[in-house]
Amino acid sequence: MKNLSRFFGLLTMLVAFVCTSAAFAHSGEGVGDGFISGFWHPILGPDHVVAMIAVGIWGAFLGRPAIWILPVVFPLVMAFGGALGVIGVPIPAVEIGIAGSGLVLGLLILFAVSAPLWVAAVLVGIFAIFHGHAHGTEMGESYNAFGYAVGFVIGTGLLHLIGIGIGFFTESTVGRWVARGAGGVIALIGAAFLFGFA
Amino acid sequence: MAAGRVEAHAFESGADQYAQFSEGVSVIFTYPSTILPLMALGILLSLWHAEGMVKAWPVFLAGQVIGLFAAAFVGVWILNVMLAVGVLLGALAALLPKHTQTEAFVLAAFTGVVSLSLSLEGHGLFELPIFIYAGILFGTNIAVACAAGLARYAMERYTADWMRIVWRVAGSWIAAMLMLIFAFNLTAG
Repeated sequence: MKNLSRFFGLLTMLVAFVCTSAAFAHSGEGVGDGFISGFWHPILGPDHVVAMIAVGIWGAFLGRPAIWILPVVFPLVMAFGGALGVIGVPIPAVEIGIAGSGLVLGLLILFAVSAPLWVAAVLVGIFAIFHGHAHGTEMGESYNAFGYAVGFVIGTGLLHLIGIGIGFFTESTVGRWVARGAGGVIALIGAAFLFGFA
Repeated sequence: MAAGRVEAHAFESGADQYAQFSEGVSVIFTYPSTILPLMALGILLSLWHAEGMVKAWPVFLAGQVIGLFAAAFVGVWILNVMLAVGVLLGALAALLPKHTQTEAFVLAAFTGVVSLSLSLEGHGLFELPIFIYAGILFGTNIAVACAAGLARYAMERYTADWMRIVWRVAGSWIAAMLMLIFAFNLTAG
């Protein structure tokens, strides 16, 4: 009961936070505006969302230490890609890489593939650079840099946490099948983007 | 994107000593490019050792004293140095499972030098009222101590592995934020 109360307390805080953020969305240019833009940028792109969540779920399938290492490493690598995008360093086939990440990660979850940690880290790292680069390139020039950076990292991190949360269901047999089904859906979404249906 | 370039602080608080002190403190707490690297240092020190802040404090203070003298000789480029130091601190806190005393001491000393140089950028020694210096020194040390203390408390209160990971993730997020700010700053020229 106590845990349930805590859960709803946290949920209320999260909802209040999100709603408050939305209310501030057009209050002018400044740190708050930059934060809102950065926060929503990774969340409002379905191709980005499925990949971020897929990283968390696949980390859970891989077990420890991958489930913890991926969320530690991913923001750093993604920010590196974002920095390349901001300063204008070109990376080829970024959109294909983003769509491909959803397809590949979705299939890895669907078939519950267990890769060595270094293979998983390299694969996810490459995808992270594509996603970060796209965010860095697409960013509006009118937003506050500090606010945008903080919002962007927090938004991305929360998506990972959602993926890891879903990944915890893999501890039960039914949950494992549900997570694998989610992997199938992610693969379909990735394929839709990759082949131009979305 | 127009990154908020930190220029030499004007320090216009007048003769009121409390206002001078507050202005000094605000230089640390209102600039993400200053506060985030200091927080990363605090986290790294507590990840190194439960008493990491206390052990590294003398060298951190020594670095700040050097920074007081060095501030007169730095230009706006010191902001990029501080951002790079912050990225390094956050990345090391996130990626290294264990830390050494040498690493902690070197980073604490260097962060002290760069932090004070940035906060007083271009101002000669004792060119400003003494209470501004006091505010900057207080803000610098309290920022690191608060981050280190919070991390230490959390890791002692919850001794499970995941709590250490939480602070490594915090380091990773700080490094990621500073890396983006660094890129924005470079493009802003």
